[in-house]
Amino acid sequence: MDFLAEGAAQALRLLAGGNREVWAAVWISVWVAFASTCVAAVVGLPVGYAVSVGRFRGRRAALVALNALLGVPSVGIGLLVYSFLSRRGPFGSWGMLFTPAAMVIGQAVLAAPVVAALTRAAFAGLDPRARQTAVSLGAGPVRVALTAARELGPALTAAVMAAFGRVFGEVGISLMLGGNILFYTRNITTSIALETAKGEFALGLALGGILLVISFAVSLAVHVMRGPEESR
Amino acid sequence: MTGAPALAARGIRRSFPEGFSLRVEDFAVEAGSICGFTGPNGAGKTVLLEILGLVEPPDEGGIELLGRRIFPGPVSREERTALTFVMQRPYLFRGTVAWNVGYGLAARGLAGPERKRRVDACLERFGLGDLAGADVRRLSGGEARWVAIARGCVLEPAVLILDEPDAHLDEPHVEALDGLIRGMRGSTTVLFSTHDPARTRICDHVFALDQGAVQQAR
Repeated sequence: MDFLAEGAAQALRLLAGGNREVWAAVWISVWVAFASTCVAAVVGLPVGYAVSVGRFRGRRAALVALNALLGVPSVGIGLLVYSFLSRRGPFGSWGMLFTPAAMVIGQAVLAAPVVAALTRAAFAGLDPRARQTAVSLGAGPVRVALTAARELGPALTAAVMAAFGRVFGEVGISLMLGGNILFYTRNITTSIALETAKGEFALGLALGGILLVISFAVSLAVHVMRGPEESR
Repeated sequence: MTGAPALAARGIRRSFPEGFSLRVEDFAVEAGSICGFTGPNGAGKTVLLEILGLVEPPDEGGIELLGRRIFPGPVSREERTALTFVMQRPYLFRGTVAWNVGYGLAARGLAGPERKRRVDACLERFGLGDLAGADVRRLSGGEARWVAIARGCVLEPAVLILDEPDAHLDEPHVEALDGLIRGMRGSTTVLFSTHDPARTRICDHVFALDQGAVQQAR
C-alpha cells in the first residue's frame, strides 16, 4: 500500500508542478483525438444516415460491415494503416508513419464506425413523421437530412463524443502509427505503457489519473447530452 | 364538374398485410373547390389522403395533380411544392412556433425579410402572434395542430390536404377553421377528412368512405 500511496503523492506533485512531459502527452492526446473525431464525424454521420434511411442494394451488407467494424481491436486497425503508410506500403513515399497525422488517420478509422453505428441507431429511432413532414413541406433531400439531424441533435452529439472517448483511451494505434516519440507523438496512453514498463509508476499514475478524469468527463457529457429520457 | 380538375385519382389500389385494402375508382376534384371525406374509423380516409398528399405511393394506379400524372415514379420537387399535406397527428420540429411556420418557406428558398413578413402575417391571421417565440414542446395538442395548419396555409399551395384538422380543436378554433377553409374557396383546392358529417356543410363535394371504397355522396 505504501507503494501506491507514494506513487499517488508523486503523481500529484508532477501534475501540480507542471511537469512538461506529462502535459505534453496530455496535449497530444487531446488534439489528436479531437482531430480524428472530427474526421470520423464528417465520414460517420452521413454514412450512418444513409444506412439508416437509404433504400439501396447492399444496405444489409453495409449494416453487417458497420457492426463488424465496431469489434475490430485498435491494434488491428493500427496494423492495417501501418501497412499502408510504411515505407513499402502504397503511401510510404508520403513519409507519414510515426507522425501525429498517422495517428489521426488510424484513430479516425477506429472512430468512424462508432459514429456511423450510433448515428444509424439514432435515425432508426426518429419519428418517421419528421422526415415525412419535411418532405411534404417541400424540403429537398439535403434539407430533409439536416432537419432530421437537427431533431436528433443531442443523440448525434453523444455519438460523436462516444467516438472521442473511444479514441482517447486507445493505445494500439498510437503506439504503432505514432512511434511513441517524446514531445511529438507520445500521448497519455503510450506514456503510461512506457513509464510503467520502466518502473516509473508515479508518472504512469499521474497520466492514468488525467485519463480517467477526461474519460469520465466525456461519459458524463454523453449521459447529459442524451437527456433524461434516453439515459434511463 | 365545371372547372379543370386540380387533383384526380385514377384507379388507386393499396393493400395492407392485415387485410385492409383501399379501392378507389376514378374521381376528380375541381380547382378551387372544397372537398370533404367522411367515414368511420378504419374506413381508409387517412390512407387515401396520404396517397393524394404524395406521402405514400399506391400499389396500383396514380393521381393527377394540376394535369400531371404522378405515380408510379418519383415525385418532382415542383409537384411536391404545389401541394401541402397536414397529417392527422402533425409533427412539429424542435424550436419555436415561428420557426416551424417558416420552415416550408425556407425550403422554398424565400429570403429572410420576406419570409419573416409572411410568417408574421400568418401568425397574426391564426391568432398565434403571442406564441411566435414559444417552444413547440410546451404547446397543447390543440395549439400544436393549429400551428401545423398555419404552417401548411402559409405556403399558399394550389392544393391543401388536411387529415382530420378539427381533432383536438375547441369550438372557437373549429369555427375559425371553417372560416379559413371557406376563405380559400376559388383560390386553393382544399381536401379534408372528418368523422362528423355535419362538418361537411362547407364542402362543395363530399366523398364517403366505407371499408376502403369511395363513393361520391354530394
